[in-house]
Amino acid sequence: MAYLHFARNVLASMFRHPATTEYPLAPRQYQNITRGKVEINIDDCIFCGMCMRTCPADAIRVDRAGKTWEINPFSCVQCGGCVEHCPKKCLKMDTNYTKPSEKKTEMVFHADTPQT
Amino acid sequence: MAETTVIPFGPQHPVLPEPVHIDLEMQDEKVLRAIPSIGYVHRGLEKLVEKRDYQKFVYVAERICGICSFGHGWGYCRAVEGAMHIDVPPRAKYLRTIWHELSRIHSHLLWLGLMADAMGFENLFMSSWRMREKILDIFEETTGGRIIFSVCKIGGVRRDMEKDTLNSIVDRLTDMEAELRVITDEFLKEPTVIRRMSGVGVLSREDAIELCCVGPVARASGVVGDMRLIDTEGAYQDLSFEPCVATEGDCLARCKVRIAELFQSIGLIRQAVEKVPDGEIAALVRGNPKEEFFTRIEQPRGEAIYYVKGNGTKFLDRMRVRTPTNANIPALVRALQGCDYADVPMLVVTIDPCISCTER
Amino acid sequence: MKQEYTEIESPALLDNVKEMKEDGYRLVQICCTRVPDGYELTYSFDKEYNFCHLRLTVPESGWVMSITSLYWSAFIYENEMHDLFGLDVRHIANDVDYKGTFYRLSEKAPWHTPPKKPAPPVRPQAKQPPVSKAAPAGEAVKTTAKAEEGAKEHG
Repeated sequence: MAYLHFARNVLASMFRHPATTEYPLAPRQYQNITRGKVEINIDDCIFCGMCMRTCPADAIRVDRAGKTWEINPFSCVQCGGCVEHCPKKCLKMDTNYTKPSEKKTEMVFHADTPQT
Repeated sequence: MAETTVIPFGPQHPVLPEPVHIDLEMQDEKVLRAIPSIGYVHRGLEKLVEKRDYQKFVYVAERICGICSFGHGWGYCRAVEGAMHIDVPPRAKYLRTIWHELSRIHSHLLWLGLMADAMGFENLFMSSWRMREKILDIFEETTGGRIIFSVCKIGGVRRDMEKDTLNSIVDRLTDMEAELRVITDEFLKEPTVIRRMSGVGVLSREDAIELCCVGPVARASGVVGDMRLIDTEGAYQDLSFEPCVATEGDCLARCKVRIAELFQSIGLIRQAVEKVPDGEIAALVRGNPKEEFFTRIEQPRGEAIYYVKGNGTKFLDRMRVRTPTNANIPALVRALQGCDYADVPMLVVTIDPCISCTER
Repeated sequence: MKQEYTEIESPALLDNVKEMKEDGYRLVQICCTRVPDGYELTYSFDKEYNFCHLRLTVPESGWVMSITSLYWSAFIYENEMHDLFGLDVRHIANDVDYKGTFYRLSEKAPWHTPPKKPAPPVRPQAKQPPVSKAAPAGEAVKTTAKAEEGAKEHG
């Protein structure tokens, strides 16, 4: 009768390195292309609004006149569409996820106002 | 005459991955009738298609379910590509097939874990899911997400996989095969597991045909039907495989079919990586869909139907998904009639319920 | 690939479905689409990978006969059509007629109303940047942006 033949696997598991990470004591290892959150280099942004049109979740708002770029990170579904379609490549996908927070806040970025 | 009691099963239950409610009319530990009731995760996604651009709707479609996520994204894209007569480049077809087969492996490993948990065999549950983590790591490396890939788009795929990446995937799967054999042998040979699963929930071949079952539930009762054999949108025409069929029709037979499909998928990925052609990964999409189209795809749980109806604007008229669990619920209702109370969790898990898919 | 939809009339539904059953076809799905003057039902059948469809248009106040007498597993689709669209499906087999309790919804027949023609999209306006006391006009406002961000996140 072949009872207990999983016992070998069980004993091996006792001495193997655990398969889980002791998060949050140990940091989580992300891959290079993990889609965590969207970040912008506001100096390069030309406020064309391509990212706003591409966003499937309507998380981005661009004001061309006021030169602001705003994202709601809690609406963002991390699809990477804005990063792909940005003509100036000023958007990039950071590997770390948005930190949890008590309120769903937006993040507003202003550009340099030009010297007249 | 003994009186009947009604015992509610669900929506929260330790074996259920997703909430479903079944009222069990019982008489002394035997179930007389089962009355299902769904709607706990109904998000009205089919109605949302009227408000979202059809190209952006891919992101919604792949969030119908977390387990069969790639299948839904691909199915929706196929339906729209069929309605708009778009030819997808061959490399995109191969890449989609490779991701879909990896998705099948991860889904079957998830199911094996849930089956073990339904029996109370927690160690086997954790071991199966430990192997599944390796597949999720492959997904994260190649698409950026563990469950929701966002890699399928209308016309092709958004990301490419290099030759080195593809070869490393095959190497990793080959390394996993030995440990997968140990885990799956546990399901097929351990006497306690066999006693729990054998003879439970028998669906004869005639029942399976009459109830219009799909997927492993039908194949375990001897009904040969696998949509991959006629699939022209993926790479399946160039790959050689046979559908996995069993004849007993009980829980153990369904387990055997899914385990066989697991190893078959590893073989299919190996074949696809050898034959993947070079070229473009996406076709250009212009205009809006005007026609309607039905497409069928073999998801891990069975045959899924996608129907889109366009009206010339960028919002579709109708998008319909008929998922395999939807087609297998009649089989569940029939199998639950006359079964023992202690077998109810096993029976519910054995049809591989994916209620998020059913309710959309 | 051209897909064929055979148009049939409501009284002929059961005869057509009976022919399908005798030929050995499997019921694949029943789809209900809301069109402006009623419902368009598509019954799909499959036999050895041949896919064919029957199409039936029902006026809004009309009713459709259940096919559970021929295909018992159609109760899933018919209960769903009744619960979501409010379509009157008559004579569903007794043991599987859930009388509107299959789908647990907060409002009855939420998909009953036909879809509205979508309005042209309104571009969402970005919020006006709040007047900042510290930064005079013309100065680079990146540091202020960070302070705003910090203030907004903690606020």
